[in-house]
Amino acid sequence: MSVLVFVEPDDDLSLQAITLARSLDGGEVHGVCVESTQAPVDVLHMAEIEGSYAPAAWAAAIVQLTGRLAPSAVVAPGSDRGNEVLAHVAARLDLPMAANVTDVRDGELTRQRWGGTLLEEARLHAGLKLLTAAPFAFAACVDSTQARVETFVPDLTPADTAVRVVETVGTATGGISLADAKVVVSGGRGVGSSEGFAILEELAALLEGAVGCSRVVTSAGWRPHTDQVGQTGTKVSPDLYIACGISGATQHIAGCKGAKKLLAINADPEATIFGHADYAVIGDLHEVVPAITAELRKAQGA
Amino acid sequence: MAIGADRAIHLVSEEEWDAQATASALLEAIRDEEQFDLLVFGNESADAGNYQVAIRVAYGLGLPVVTGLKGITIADGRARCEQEVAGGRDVYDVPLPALVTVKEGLNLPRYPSVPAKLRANRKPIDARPVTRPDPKLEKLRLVVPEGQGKQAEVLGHGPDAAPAVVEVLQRLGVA
Repeated sequence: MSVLVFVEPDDDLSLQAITLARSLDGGEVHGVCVESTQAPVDVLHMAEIEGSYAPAAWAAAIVQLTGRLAPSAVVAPGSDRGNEVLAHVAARLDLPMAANVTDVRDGELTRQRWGGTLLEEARLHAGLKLLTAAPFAFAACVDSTQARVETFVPDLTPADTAVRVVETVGTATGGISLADAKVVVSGGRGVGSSEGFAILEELAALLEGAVGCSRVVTSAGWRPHTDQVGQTGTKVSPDLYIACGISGATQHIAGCKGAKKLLAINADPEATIFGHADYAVIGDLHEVVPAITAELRKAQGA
Repeated sequence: MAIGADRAIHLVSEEEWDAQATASALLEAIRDEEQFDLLVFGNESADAGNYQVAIRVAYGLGLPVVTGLKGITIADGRARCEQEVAGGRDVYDVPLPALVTVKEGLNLPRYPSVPAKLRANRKPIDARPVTRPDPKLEKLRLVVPEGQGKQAEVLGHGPDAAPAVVEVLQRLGVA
């Protein structure tokens, strides 16, 4: 018996998927990749597929390998690509698939719902289990195993390669990206207007962080959707998330629960956000945020 | 219906379906309908988050599928689809008919007007009862994850809290 893991290069989520694979009672862990990489698995199968990302072709390769290895499970990272490729595999094999799994034990599994703010305990009725590992639910596998690499050429039809990336367009980003920022200063309805974000921008700049916002803000047109933190926006994992005037709707929490620490600033002492916060300041953000900025400048001696 | 659909098919069931069964039911419902040029699905549901219904339907219909769109342009029988990735956008160019899944931020949602709501009342909705098969991904129970309902440390009230906040920022190593 074995377990097969879909691995992407330089991808922490792939290493987390390997940890999930190793936790399964499945014997050897085999990896499968298309773009050349190394991974802490026992055998790494490199599928030789020319050209850019083509989800159906990548899935076809995994399905063919599955036929040969007869693994007990196929695991993929819970990334956009991981979920997409594994869903193609599931459709091809007409098997159930559990996305964003956080735990597997005794024939049952736990998976995320509502962006991880609720968990589902479920049973997968299939001989071959298809699982994606929920981001940051597992530690990255740091095993120093050097996999034995084997290459193979999958049989592909024109339909398999019909959908593929034909071009990648870079987006001009000013400053630090929301997803990578160590500090995110985020504003909600309480900010009140597009102009109201100036004080958040100022604090973020001082902390070398990025500015985020809640869905209310993008719906009102105060900030672009690219700034939105939440289940349907960017999921952030900074060292500190500062939520200013954000009530704390479930969808927003789904986007910022990856933060190591959360500081909430809100005028309403009953705001839901305080139930998710490590630190709280009760007060009007329009007074509190500039006061923090001034105090910080003083401390930094500027 | 009030935001632009001409007609609807409503698959009626009181139960919760798993993704595989949902896709089969959708496939059965639309397989014998007219040939659509473009089928649009959400990328994943907010509640169950299975990330797979649309892809299964696409395979059932034998159509190309592109997921997670933040931009789409239709011209000359083809769809140019843009997907957000780290540092930019991946572009796909697929012939129609095709199936796509979209993410929030693709466009500004249209809200229904009162006249549109009244007109929608006259549009046909084809309601069809459907029977749920035994789920292959069987939900046993829902649980609230640990760590919710934290007790926050109150640093203060109003602007007077600023020194305590800065102390925390320094302690966390971010200032």
